Amino acid sequence: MTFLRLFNQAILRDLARNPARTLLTLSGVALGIAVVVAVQLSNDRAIASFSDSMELLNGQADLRISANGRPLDETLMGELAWVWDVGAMTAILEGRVQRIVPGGEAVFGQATIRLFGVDMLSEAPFRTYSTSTDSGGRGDLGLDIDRERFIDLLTSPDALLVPRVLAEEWNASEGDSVNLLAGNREHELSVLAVLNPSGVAEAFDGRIVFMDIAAAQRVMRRTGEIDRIEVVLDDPAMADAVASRIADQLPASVVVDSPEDDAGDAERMTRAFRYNLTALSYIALVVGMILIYNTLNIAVVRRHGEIGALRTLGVSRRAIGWMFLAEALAFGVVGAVAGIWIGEFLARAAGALVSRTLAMLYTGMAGAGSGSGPAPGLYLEMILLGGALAAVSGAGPALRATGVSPIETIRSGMRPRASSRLRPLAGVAALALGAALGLAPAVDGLPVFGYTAGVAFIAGFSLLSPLIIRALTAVVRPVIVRARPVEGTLAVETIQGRLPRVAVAVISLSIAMAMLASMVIMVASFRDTVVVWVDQTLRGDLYVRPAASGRDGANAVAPETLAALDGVPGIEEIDRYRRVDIDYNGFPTTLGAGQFDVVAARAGLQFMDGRGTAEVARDLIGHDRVAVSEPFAVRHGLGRGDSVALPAPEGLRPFEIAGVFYDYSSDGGLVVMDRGTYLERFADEAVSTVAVYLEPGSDAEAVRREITARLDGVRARIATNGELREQILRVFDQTFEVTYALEVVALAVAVMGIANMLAALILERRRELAALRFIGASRRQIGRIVMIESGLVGVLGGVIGLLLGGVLSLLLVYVINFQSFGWTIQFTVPAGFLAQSLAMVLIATLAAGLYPAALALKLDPIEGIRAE
Amino acid sequence: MPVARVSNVTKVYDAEGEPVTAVDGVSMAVEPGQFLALMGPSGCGKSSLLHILGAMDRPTRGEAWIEDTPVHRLTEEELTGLRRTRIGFVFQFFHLLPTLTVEENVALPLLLTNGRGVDRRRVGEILASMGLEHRRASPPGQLSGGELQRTAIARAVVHRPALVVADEPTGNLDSENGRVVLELLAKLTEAGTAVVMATHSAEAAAFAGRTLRMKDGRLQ
Ligand SMILES: Nc1ncnc2c1ncn2[C@@H]1O[C@H](COP(=O)(O)OP(=O)(O)OP(=O)(O)O)[C@@H](O)[C@H]1O
Ligand SMILES: [Mg+2]
Repeated sequence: MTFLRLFNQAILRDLARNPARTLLTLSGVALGIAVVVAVQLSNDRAIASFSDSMELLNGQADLRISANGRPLDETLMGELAWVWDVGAMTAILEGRVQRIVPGGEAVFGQATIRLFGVDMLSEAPFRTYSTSTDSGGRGDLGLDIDRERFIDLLTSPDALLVPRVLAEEWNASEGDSVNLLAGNREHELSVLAVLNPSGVAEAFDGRIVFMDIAAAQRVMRRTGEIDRIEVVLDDPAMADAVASRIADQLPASVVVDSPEDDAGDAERMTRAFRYNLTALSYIALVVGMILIYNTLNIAVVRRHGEIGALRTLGVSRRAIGWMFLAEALAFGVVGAVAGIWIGEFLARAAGALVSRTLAMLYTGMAGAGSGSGPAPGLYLEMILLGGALAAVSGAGPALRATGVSPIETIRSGMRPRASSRLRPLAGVAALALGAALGLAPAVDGLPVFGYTAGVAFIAGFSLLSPLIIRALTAVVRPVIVRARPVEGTLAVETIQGRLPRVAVAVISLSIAMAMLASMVIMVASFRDTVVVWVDQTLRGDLYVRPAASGRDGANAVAPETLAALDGVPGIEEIDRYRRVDIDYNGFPTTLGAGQFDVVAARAGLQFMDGRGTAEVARDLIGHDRVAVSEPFAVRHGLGRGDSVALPAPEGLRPFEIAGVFYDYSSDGGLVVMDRGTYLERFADEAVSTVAVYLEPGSDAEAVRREITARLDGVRARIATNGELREQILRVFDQTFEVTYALEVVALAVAVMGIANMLAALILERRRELAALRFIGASRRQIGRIVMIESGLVGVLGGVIGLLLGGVLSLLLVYVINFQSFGWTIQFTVPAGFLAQSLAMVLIATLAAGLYPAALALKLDPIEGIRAE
Repeated sequence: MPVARVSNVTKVYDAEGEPVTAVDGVSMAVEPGQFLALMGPSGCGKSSLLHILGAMDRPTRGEAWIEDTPVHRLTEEELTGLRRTRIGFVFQFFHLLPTLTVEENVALPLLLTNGRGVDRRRVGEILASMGLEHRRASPPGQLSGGELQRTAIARAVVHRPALVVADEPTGNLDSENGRVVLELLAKLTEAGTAVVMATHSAEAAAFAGRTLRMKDGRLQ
């Protein structure tokens, strides 16, 4: 009880007396926690929304029959008629569509909508649909609309079922017609019914439309084809037996599996991305914790006399220690609670960014991940984490408080503490440890040691920072003093005289700055690398693709389009490229086939062993050989001469790796072979993209117009080299938006720390500042002193941050990125961009100085002298 | 001409809505070279009056002059300039800057006035006259109370002010150190500097040439 009273009187009242600073510390901690919460939530929700969606779409199915990304023949259903004896079967055709205005074009960046073609007559055991208008009509068929409209749905070639959210977005109601781009054609379809937001209609946040499978086949121009067959068994225990019997009966290329694997796929694919994002989010938290340390340290120093007095009055050492620890805990827990609340808000913004990025980079799992129930587990975890980290950061100051002896006066608090000689040694040791860890290999495909190395480097720089600050201050001192002899001298003296405390603020700023700088360097290096790669690889003058294409290879260029290319004046050569999504050892992988006779002379893949494309092309053409991308080789530990087994129609077939090339199109991995080999082994004539090479001197725009004019009723997307390149870079830039957003929050937290530290310095010095006013310093001079101090802290934090950032960027580029994604990146330093970041940090710290400066200006000197 | 003069000055503070009259219609003058002691019970208004005499504060009513400059009509910025050149302050609790050395503390008023060109000779001279040469490079944290107050006096006179205002300069010192400080202040007046000192101690007041007594904001 006495402890509580003491805590209330000595700690809480002090906090209440300094509301601005208390709030600053709390917001710092809260923001740190908020960032972690937001990232966790958006990651979890993006994944959860994807797997929920898959679960909803897969419905009740026990088994799934598919052909590794290639279509199945619908007559297969007949061959499997015996399955009806043990359960039910249905066929599915999937595609991607985009809403357009009549005659319009698809908008780049707009998420595609899934088209789900289902056999309405056999849907009932699998999925249920509920419409907003009718009820109970055909419940036994899984669709509760009346008989007449049900028959419409089965017979009309253009009937769509549209989830309510999408209908609202489209501003369409039942009976309205909508224009959709599907594959190579524009279709005017009509909304037969609007689906209630339940069951399948909730999948992918409602960004999905349903049709009867026959109509879907017509729309997709895939008559006779289906993508998969789903099976529900009367006795689910028979799944294995039925699966193996189906597998025995069908060609080896057909895969029979359970739909449960989908969520795992998404999780595995995006793991490295999410892991890196999470690691980054913790930076903001670390900076927030430094803030707690800082605040407590300041409180202990500022209240040395008071603590001494309490000790004289008989308060035990231990009670003093617990008091300050309790203060830290309070900051941690209250900050965490506020952080969770803010994090929920942030998650909504970040969630959209994260899931859009995931969608862009990986499965095309659209949906903002708004499956947003509260996450009590995460909340509890964050509160515990906040408390634990706060206790850790508060331990030092609390221990220091216990060391205050009863006889100590206010003066002893100002005596500079002798800094340990061990610190710099420990700092150097930490740097060495960081370097060693940086050389360690990945753990299970994750750069665990890489991040540990980053932590070691940060620790090393922190330990060395007093030394670095002293050295840097000595360098800038003459400049500052020359510019502002009076205020400059006083400001520099203050910084140097209160080094340990200032150092903590400088460190937190430099950590945030280092994170920003290293990301800037990494992203710029990556971007430059991608630009070079695009230049060398993307040599076609025009690229022809289906008008609406998702990531799945199902959308192929229409034969009419291919025909239209024949004999267009100005075209010298074309390269028909096919890409299909396959599964390789559990990882979604792209199988590509290009005309290497054309590629050899035109585009240059960059092979890691330095061989030219022409040379490798000779090895590929006419052989069961492939070239694989670097991420594929890294992920699966394969190299030139190794063999990969690819799912050909008649079963797995081995191909020899003829070379490994740099590729940055996806981290999923890319396996390419010559089109001749592909046609022979995979019997698939479809073309996903046509690269068009023009005769020298011909005009790309004119050729594009000519091709478009020849397309009769068919739609295609024809991009010039420049447009495609721009798209690639746009996707690249969007990928890093989330990361930058995180960096900025960390920086904001650090800047709050600066404001906090400087404000504390002002309050601590209020007697000195008052004395200065007595002996003739003007108000303006006092304000200038504070601004120079914050500017100096900004410069110190910025410069140390740049140094640390340089080291961390090496780690990001050569270790973390490579181990996570398998990309070799050429290191470049974007000096201009870094200078901008430094300027931004300086401006931010100067802005942070405004609060303490205002505080200093408000001080009444007479009051300040009186206060004792 | 008096160094400082107040005529019928009144200082009213606003203590959370309650007006408190700290100085109540006081008139007096300080002549060059005069050592004046201000005595009276705690709360009688000594410090308040000193702040007005030292151009640190403006009176609520009445006139205050430093030489021929009307303090009551100056802006805050002008008051600052006046203090910087004509006034020196000595406090009970010394109020040195802990991050500066003794020498830098003493040079501070010169720095504030001249910026670049601090007259190091003058600083050395003053330090010598206060017996502080051996302490010039020490931070204040390492000084004794007497040394601290001598440093403060050196800081108060380094720019050759016309008036030194000392608010209980011996209040925090033992009698021996207090005596040294009072002797130093007395010595200043020999060179023509005026000193006004608030004190509770009759012993200290004995060093002054003239003693004024205050009670409830008025001179007696
Ligand atoms: N800023 C202020 N606001 C309100 N009242 C004040 C303020 N400053 C001083 N006072 C009041 O004015 C009166 C005179 O104060 P002052 O400090 O001038 O007395 P003093 O003679 O110097 O006392 P002491 O010997 O204790 O230093 C006191 O009653 C004090 O409470
Ligand atoms: Mg007083």
